Amino acid sequence: MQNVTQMLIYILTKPKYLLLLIASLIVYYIIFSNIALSSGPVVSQPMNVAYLTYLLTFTSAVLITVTVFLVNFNFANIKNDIYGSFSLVSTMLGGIVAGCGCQAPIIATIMYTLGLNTLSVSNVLYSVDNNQTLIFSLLILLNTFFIFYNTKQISSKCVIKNNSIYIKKRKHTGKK
Amino acid sequence: MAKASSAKKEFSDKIRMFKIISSVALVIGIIGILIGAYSLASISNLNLELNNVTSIIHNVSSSTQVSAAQTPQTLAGIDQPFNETQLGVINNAPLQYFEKAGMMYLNHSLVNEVGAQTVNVSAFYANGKPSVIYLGSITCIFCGENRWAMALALSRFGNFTALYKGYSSFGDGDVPTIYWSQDNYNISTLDTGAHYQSKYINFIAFEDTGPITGGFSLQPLSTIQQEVNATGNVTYENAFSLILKLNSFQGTPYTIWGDNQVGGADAIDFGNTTPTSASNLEIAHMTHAQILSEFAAPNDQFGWTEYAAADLYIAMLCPSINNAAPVCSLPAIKQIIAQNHYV
Repeated sequence: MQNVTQMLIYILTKPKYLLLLIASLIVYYIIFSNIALSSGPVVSQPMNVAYLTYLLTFTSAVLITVTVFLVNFNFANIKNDIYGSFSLVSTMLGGIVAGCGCQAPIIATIMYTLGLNTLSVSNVLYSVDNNQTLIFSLLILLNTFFIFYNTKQISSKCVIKNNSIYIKKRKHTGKK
Repeated sequence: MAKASSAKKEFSDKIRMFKIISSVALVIGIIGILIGAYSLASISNLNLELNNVTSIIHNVSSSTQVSAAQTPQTLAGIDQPFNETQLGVINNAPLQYFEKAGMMYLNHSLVNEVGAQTVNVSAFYANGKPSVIYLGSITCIFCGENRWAMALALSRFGNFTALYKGYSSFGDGDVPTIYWSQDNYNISTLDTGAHYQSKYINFIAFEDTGPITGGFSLQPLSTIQQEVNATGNVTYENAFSLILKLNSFQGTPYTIWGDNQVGGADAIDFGNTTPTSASNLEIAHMTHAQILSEFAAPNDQFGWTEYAAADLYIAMLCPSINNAAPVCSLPAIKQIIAQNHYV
């Protein structure tokens, strides 16, 4: 756990990746707010959801930054890529959930397209609207898990010494 | 050989990185196009310019910080009936105001957004008359704004014998509005009906209620349907069945004006400028008396926008009554009907 934390701090404090983090934060926030505001220009949220909004965007930005680091050092496997992509998915889902108020055109359109009728769509809207905090919390937890997983992948292959990163040598078994 | 292999590996890493970044960029681009296309087709998507980072961040940041300090929270006079003078502002609104506002809408001199996507449906008839059907929530901010325009529009086809002071919920703007009847604003239930009479149309109102000191709430339509059926009013049961059958409900307010179904409010009129958050609504700082005085003598964007929003509803309704009401003869209404292809 300590290695993972140290690795995460190392990655996020590197100028290149810090810039990427900030850029990702801005881009993801724009995506989130565009989707949320597409239901109407006025968005009212209880304070707890507001803070969860910021936390969701931040964890998504951290996740994509860590994933890019992984890919850059060629440590990433398909699982890491998928987990990294979830940063965008969670942001979009968060925007859709946040925009669920008087009107919820995005969710409703998707549900009708899937063949649900009015009563079913209404039930979905009701569930989403009444569980916004829970949904945001789940998305943040997932982001956090994927950050941990991807960072662990890096820390299993690298070590930090004197503020530089070194790839761990593979142990040779002597077998040809 | 080793060098070639290493170079090949490095190249494939870069390709892989490029693919990932490209995929993310493509998805972002598609989302942006979809949202942009949706915003062109809908009045409810405003100021969504992807290059205006600062304004968007500010908009959402301030809208997510609803607080007592920014939005005055009041329920002063809730459920009180309008007095005769106040009712008169709605019932006796001069036709010339509707005409002028209609012209302002047609020549794009309104600051606030006025417009609605409509879907052509078969009008609901009861007692030999076409109907206006409304499904909303007292907690909902857009319903709160929209009822003013609805009342002005409906007053051209009949008259209200009673209207009541109301508010949207604290968590949804706390905007002063009209209630069609004395609503239960502390519990979740359904109120139906309005004190309205007309020789041209029926006005069928379904108003979901919820604790007004909370946020937006709307019961599931299955629950509302049970409550409608419990009234024993066949007209209301059939009207609600029509809403369910149309499979287009996306939220509140939801209205049907003759042959035109409208999902959402037909205007965004919370003051003299388009709002960017729930914490800077001009209307939330007004009393009912002040709002009514704006309608009695409109002289700013807020007042004219509300009349223009009413004009749209009037234009939707006129064709279903063969333009029988005097308001349907207004030049502005005729032009709006033609421009928007209302049937």
